[in-house]
Amino acid sequence: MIIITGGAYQGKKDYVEKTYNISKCQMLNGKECSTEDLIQTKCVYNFHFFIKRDSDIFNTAKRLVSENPDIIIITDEIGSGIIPLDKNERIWRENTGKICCYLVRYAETVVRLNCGLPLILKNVGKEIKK
Amino acid sequence: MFILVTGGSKCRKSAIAESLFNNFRYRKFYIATMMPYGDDAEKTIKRHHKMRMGKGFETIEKYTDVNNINIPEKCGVLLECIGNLCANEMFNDMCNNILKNPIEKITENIKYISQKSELFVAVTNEVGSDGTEYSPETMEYIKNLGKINCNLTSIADVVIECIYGIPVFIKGDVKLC
Repeated sequence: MIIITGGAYQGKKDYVEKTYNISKCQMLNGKECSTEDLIQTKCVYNFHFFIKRDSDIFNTAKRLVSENPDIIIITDEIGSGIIPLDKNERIWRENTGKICCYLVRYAETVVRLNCGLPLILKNVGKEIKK
Repeated sequence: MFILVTGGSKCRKSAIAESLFNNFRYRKFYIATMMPYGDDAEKTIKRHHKMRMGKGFETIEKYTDVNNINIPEKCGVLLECIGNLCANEMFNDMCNNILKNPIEKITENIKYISQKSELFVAVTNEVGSDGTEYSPETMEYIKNLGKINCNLTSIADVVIECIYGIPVFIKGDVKLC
């Protein structure tokens, strides 16, 4: 599993296109895809929006680890702001953090993009099982 | 040694901050700055309490004026978090309504704790990166916390940013266990 994170519009998809040779039209949009599509896909972007839409996201995350362990996940960092007043927004923001912490444990590579520049946060040959 | 731990929501800041005390042999205190009002606060407090159980921290609840804590010599202190402390200092003084400038007060108080303790770890928050324009009071809070964080990183020996559970050293270095 490869996780690419960072703020909005920091060059995450471009980085994946260049580094992993996947064109943007092959990437699944987390804003509108189904869980089954996600389980099959090579690469998903807007994963933070998928988290918002999926009421069973913790189970889906487990399925990703076991059924699609080679997926490339592109997700925006959304936790670095003021706590939202709206309860659903709060839950979404916290779930994004929790789900990403969970997936990062299994990912062999984690990269954060900032102004188009990659910062390698994790890179191990094998996935780490806990 | 003063270590500042920062990061966004649910990035395992607390877990990493606590782990810094794993090999610490002396008495250790946990300064909790979150006021226990509202469902979310109660949940967070319970969750943090559970995480700390069995780790030997003595909890002190102190919402403002954290310099008014008696810290014995050679002790460890974990303060969580600067974000709450800043909000409390700014908004919870019933007499004065709003403390105009908590920057100097909090910086000085944190400096005091860091000088008094053997190992001091403070958890803070990154709140300035959601691109949203808020009310003047909230913008003031974002500005104050940003400036406090800048002040604290200049005092701190080590600064760690947590990204989804991965600690990134942005100043200095320390062995994590």
